[in-house]
Amino acid sequence: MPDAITALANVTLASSQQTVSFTSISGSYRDLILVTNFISTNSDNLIMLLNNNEDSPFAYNHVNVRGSGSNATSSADTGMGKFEWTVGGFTNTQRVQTIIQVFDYAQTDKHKAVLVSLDNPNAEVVIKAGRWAKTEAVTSLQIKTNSYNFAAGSTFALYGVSA
Amino acid sequence: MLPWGVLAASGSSAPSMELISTQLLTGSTSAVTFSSIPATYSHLQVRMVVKNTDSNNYAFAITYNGDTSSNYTRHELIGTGSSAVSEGSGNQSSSSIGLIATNTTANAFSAAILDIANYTNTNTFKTAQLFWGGIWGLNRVGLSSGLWRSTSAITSVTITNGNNFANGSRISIYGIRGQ
Repeated sequence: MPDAITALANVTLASSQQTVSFTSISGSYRDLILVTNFISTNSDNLIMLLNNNEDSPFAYNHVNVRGSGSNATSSADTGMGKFEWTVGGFTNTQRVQTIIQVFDYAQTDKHKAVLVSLDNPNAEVVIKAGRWAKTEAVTSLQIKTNSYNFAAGSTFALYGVSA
Repeated sequence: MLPWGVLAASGSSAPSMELISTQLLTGSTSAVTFSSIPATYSHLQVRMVVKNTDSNNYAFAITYNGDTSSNYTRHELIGTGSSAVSEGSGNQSSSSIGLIATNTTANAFSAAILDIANYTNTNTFKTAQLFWGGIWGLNRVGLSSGLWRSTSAITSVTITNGNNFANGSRISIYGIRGQ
């Protein structure tokens, strides 16, 4: 029986940079999973764009629940120009891990549902759900910091899941 | 909650995550059962992209081997967009639960991932984790733990909706190899 999960790309940064892009993503799978393990050069916001789309009409919506170590909170943003997630409390040694799952990314009859877990051991743990309100197939995925850089050694692995 | 399949994919050359079955739904089904699940894997993962056929919010529930007796314990952490809610309950008739997108927003579906650990181990009760959420008028994201107080190997998994699954809904079950 064939493997249902396929490694599509694996990036390890040799030097700091702000943006990592995955382009020409095959439409042969049902879901995408992006596993990131990174250090930022400062507390920052993490941004994800689908199909490099950051223009109007603003199509990104998300809700999260966050545990800070002292309390749990939830917030939501709708009609945003990008998925933008605050990642605070960085040190230059504590890695942050995110697992971003985009469901039915090539299906043109669906908005794209997204589930994200964000583990920032120095400051917080967060889960998120999102919807990109477009029916076009996702063929590229871009992840970047808002102001600073991903440090050298940060890793980004993209997988495709068959169904 | 690193997907087991991702961990396994970096390991041996043997298949690490295999598709057991996918059901594509058309609006006339309120419950999906995967039966005769092979016992050849370490864990199971169910991946769902789903919505309801009407505008009311319904929970979906997970049961194993057709057991709907009070043999389940579960706890939930839910984000509503304005508050974080936690609840727990024992002696329930189903394991983990979540909400499914209504039909109020065209093309909007909710998503869920259910990880069932050590499903064939006849020495332990069965634990599972459900990660679910979506934006469909309601904003919801949740993490649910479920315990089935049975030492029986799991041979079937049923996902029951309070409404029919709308056309375009998809539920897939996978077997995960490795530890």
